[in-house]
Parts: sequence; structure tokens; C-alpha cells
Amino acid sequence: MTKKTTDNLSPLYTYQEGMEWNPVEKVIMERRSIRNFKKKEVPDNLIKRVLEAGRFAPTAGNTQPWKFIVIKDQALIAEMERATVQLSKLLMWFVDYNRNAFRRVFLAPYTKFMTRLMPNKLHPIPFNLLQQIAAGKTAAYYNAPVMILLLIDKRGIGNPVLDVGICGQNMVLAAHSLGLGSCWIGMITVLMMNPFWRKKLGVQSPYELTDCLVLGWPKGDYDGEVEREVQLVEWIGADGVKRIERLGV
Amino acid sequence: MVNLSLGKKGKIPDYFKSSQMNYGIVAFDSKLCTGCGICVSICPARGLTLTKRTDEPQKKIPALIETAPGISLCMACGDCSAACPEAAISIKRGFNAGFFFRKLSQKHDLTGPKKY
Ligand SMILES: Cc1cc2nc3c(=O)[nH]c(=O)nc-3n(C[C@H](O)[C@H](O)[C@H](O)COP(=O)(O)O)c2cc1C
Repeated sequence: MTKKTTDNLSPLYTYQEGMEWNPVEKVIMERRSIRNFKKKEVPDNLIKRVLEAGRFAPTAGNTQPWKFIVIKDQALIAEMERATVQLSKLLMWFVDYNRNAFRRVFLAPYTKFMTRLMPNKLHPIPFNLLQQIAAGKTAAYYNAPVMILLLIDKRGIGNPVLDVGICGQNMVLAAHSLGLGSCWIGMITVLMMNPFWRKKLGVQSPYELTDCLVLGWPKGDYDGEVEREVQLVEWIGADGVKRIERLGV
Repeated sequence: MVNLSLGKKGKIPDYFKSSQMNYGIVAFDSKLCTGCGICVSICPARGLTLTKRTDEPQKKIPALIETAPGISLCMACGDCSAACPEAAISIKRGFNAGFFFRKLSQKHDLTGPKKY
């Protein structure tokens, strides 16, 4: 397949207009969230190598406000999956207003009010995903062989959640450059609503957990370039003149 | 650039009304598609299904599942088009909700990464 060749890539630390991607850019552009994994085990040392990329991420004031938990126990992951499905069903029972006419009339105003309170959590995309998980149509953790929980230490400075996000993306890029597939999973938030699971996974103050990573050997070849929205970028040029440019066309 | 009025800032769209929601649209090139079904198996939203082709009833072609008229599960992530071995999939429209959730800094047109 042509898309995996690494010849003809531009060297690092050089720039010429319109040149090929360099290896780092290539990993960034072709990274896709992988949701199908082989059963094959991922060696501990490879996981450690990925974790190292996270350990060296930049953080506000070098506080490194995180703690990592690696889960390889398939029985535990399966148990988490079941628990997440159950919790999703419960949540959906409260907010899914599209199931029948009765719900459409009486539940829609309530759901919209809740959405106003939690606009990010009840945004249409996670709403749909939650609905699909509750209906058993898709998995929450995709039967991944490895899970990395990225615990946020709330004592970090500034905005520790952002620091942990940067750390996780470092790991994701390192994983892809090593041939592993990965996916960010925000749905673990649902599981974290249950104190039983917070205790079981050791997510207790000062730590909190909102997102995790799943890793494994990809089943199939899904990495590749995709199309993304054109961005309207505001430039304030060296001459102080403001202009809006379309990025990506 | 468009700005949201106070009314639109406050209003949450109805997720199941096509007038208030723009879900992603993907197009399958029937000349290139072999009906292998990779896209269906990897769609993160489980929003695709294989349907019978109108021109060749023995063969299949993927289609977007509509959960309500004009409403799909597609958020235009592009994973299907990255995975397609025949490059038969293109994304025609990105995801954009109405009112409060409306994105202002983006356009509906989509492009691949550009080597500046
Ligand atoms: C913080 C965060 C949380 C995410 N949570 C989930 C999730 O719960 N389930 C899922 O399937 N994908 C999840 N994703 C992956 C996104 O859906 C994915 O990145 C997006 O569709 C773009 O596709 P790509 O990563 O293949 O480019 C998450 C991504 C991020 C950054």
C-alpha cells in the first residue's frame, strides 16, 4: 500500500514551501482513532515507551499534574464495559426524548434544560454515542487489550485538564509512530459517575478521571488522511492589518 | 462573520429535527465501491449499513442510517474514507448543529491536509 511508505519524506528541521510531510507531520496527519483491535498482546515495554512520551509533555509550571493507570486485565475491561452500558441505559432513560410521542412532549423541555446545564456532556454527538452504547450497538471501550487511564491531579496550576490532554496526545502520537492504534475514550466519564467504580479504580481526591486511552494492534489499516472543516483564520499581520483567510484550501 | 443573536445563544436545538441539525453527509462512489463493508464495521457511530444496489441487486453498497427524516448519526469524522481501500468515500457535508451549538469559525466545506 502506498500510504505506508516512508521514503520521500522530508527531513526534520528543514522547511521549503510545499514540501512533503516530515515523519512527525505524517504521523499527525494520518493518525485516526482506531476502534478495532487484534487480540494480540501488547508488550509491557512498548506500553512503557508510549507512557514515556506522556511523561515528557509540557505542563503549566512543570507541575505534571497526572497519574497513569495501565489496565491489561481483560476481565476487568469487560466488567467496565458492562457497567458502562448499564449506566448509559439509566442516563438515557432520563434524557432520551425521541423514543415515543409521550417522551417527545414531556421529556424534551426537561432534556433541553439539562443540556443547557451540561452543554458539553449532552452535546448531540456524545448524546448519540450514549444512545448507541445503551442500545448495545457500539462498544464503549472497543474490547481493547490495553487501557491507559489519565488521572488529573486537581492541584495542578492553571488548567490541569489541559495539561493532561497534551500528555495524552503525546502518547497517542508516539503509539501511532510505533504501529499501535489508539482511541481517546471520553465515555469513561459515565463510569466515573458511579462511586463504586471510582473507588475500585482508585480515582479519589485529589484525582479525577474524565478521559482515557485505549491501545492495541489495529485490526485493518485505518490510518490515513481525511477531510476536515476549512477554518476561517484571523490574522493580524505584521503591518497591523486584520484579515480573514481560509485555511486548507 | 456571523454572530449569534441572544435568542439563538440560548436555544438548544432539537436533535431529531433536520431543520435544526446538520448531520454529516457521506457519498459512496458506486463505480468504485466493491461492497466490502469495511466502512460499516469501523464507523464509530455505527451509522452505516449495507444496502442492496439498485443497478446490481447481487452486490451491496453502504448507506447512511437515518434515525429520523434527514437525521443521520454521522459526525463527519472521515474514518470511513480513510479506511476505504478503493477511495470510494467522500464527505459531502460536515457536522453543524443549530442555535447554541452552531459553530461560527468553520465552514461547511471540507478539505484534506494541505502542504503549505
Ligand atoms: C477527549 C476525547 C474524547 C473522545 N471520546 C471518544 C469516545 O468516548 N468514543 C469514541 O469512539 N471516540 C472518542 N473520541 C475520538 C473522536 O471521536 C475522534 O477523535 C474524532 O471522531 C476524529 O476522528 P479521528 O481521531 O479518527 O481523526 C474522543 C476524542 C477525544 C479528543
